[in-house]
Amino acid sequence: MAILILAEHAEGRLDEATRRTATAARSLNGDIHVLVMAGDAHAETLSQQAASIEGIAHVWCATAPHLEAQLTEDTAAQAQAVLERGGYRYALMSSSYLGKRLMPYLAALRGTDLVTDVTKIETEDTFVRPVYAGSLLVVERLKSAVKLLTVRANAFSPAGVQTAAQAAAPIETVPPLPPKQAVRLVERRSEQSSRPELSRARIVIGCGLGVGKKDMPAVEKLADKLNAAIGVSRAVVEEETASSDYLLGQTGKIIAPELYIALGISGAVQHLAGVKDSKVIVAVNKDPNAPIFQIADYGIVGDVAEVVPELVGLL
Amino acid sequence: MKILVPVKRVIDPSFKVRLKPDHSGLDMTYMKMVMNPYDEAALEAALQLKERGMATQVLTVSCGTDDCVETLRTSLALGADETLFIEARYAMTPLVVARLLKAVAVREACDLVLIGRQGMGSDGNQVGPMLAALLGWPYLPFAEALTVEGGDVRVRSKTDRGFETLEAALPALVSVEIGLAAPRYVSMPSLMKAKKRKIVGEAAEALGVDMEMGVAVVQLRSPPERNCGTLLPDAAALVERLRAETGII
Repeated sequence: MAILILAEHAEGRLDEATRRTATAARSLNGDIHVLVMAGDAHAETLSQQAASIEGIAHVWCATAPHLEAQLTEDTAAQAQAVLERGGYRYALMSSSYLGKRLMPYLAALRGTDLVTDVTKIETEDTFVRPVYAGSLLVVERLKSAVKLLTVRANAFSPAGVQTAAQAAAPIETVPPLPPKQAVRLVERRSEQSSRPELSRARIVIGCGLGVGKKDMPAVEKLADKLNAAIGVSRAVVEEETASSDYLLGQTGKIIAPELYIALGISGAVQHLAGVKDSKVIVAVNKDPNAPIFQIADYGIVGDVAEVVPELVGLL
Repeated sequence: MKILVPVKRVIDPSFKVRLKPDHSGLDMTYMKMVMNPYDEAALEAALQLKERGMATQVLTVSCGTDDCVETLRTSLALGADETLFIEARYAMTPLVVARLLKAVAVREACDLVLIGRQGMGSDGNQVGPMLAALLGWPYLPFAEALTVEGGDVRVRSKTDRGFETLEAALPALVSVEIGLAAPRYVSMPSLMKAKKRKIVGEAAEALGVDMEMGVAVVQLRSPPERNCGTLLPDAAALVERLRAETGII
């Protein structure tokens, strides 16, 4: 019996989330296969990247011009066709936007429930997932013969990549299905940012209302020195000084970096829920009673305007 | 054009949830219930489409226990034309809810479903894509902006790296990001009017869908609590401790 991972990729590069999903799959019993669905330009390179992930036994490659758009209707039908070949006990993807839109759709096509955003695999059919943005954990048992899961990427470390000298997994093509033509992709835009992406960054700096506009150059300098991503609290989004793309917390990004530095953030329930899985938390706030200090490993009661430039000078 | 907006009743997200001491369920003492904020954004977007003459009717629906009536009444007070209550005495899995909603969308001849991308709290992100798959309607996920023109719906759809513009012909299903539309306030007169409306439930079983549940909750757990750390005098002390104790910087 085998496990099928649906590869995630963009602009010809396999996403690290797929390697993290492979780590989750390794705690299940079975050969791990990867399905790459892509346009003609990148399918071959992507399949090779997938084949070189440690622990992968087989790579399926479906390629056709319309698969470039990765529309849910097309990718779900294609994945369903591979699962119908038989022999699969699990299908996995990370709970990225792509996984969140594809896997429940695939589950409904198959007439089964699924478990989303799994952070721990307990047994072959029971899985732990956070609810209420991580304030609680729920353990769920999935009954279907083929179990569909999405896994939270940052709860699993990325599987290694084999060197060229080691034997990579065999790659086999699967016939592409005709396009469904239900949805048209009109345009695709990527955010051009020199900083790491919030949910993947090793270090994240969060800015709340205690960070004034005048403090931002120093915060940017600190982020440069630490190669950190910058996020904001809900209050900042509500003041309309930052886009909701950078929102940290229950309705925004839920993060678990190695280091989270909360600047001028008091720590509303929704914010704490979204950042509390960070390995180390540092808080800087003028108010010694700010709730953020209750979850911080290190705190400084002080003004961001003074503390941040000092930090920049010391690093 | 008829728009269907499924609305879910959830715990107010500004409340911190806790387990009962015996871990048998959530401690609901002092908890306040509200309409799922994602669905609230979906309802607001539907009402705005109607006000701009793009839609003729906004229909809300909720599947669950008696308490849902309160949420449905709020939807009427906000401006929904009609509301449907699908009554079930137990919690259902997302697939069962999607099957019930499919039966409603087909029976009521809806042209567009606007649904919050997730229930706040259950955080599943499942019912929207499942419903689109069951209906076989185009699925436009994670909408941050939405327009309807000449039988086509166009959304700005959030992705892992930015956004996509997606377009499809109606009927279609759009899953909604919280920022799509800022909900309006309920006015006193419309609330009083909504209070007089009779909301009659129909039994979920009567819709004739498969109610078999494929996933069961085994246990609820509290995550490990973080311990309160150390207060440090200044930036220098912080850098020293981070270097000595964490090795991250």
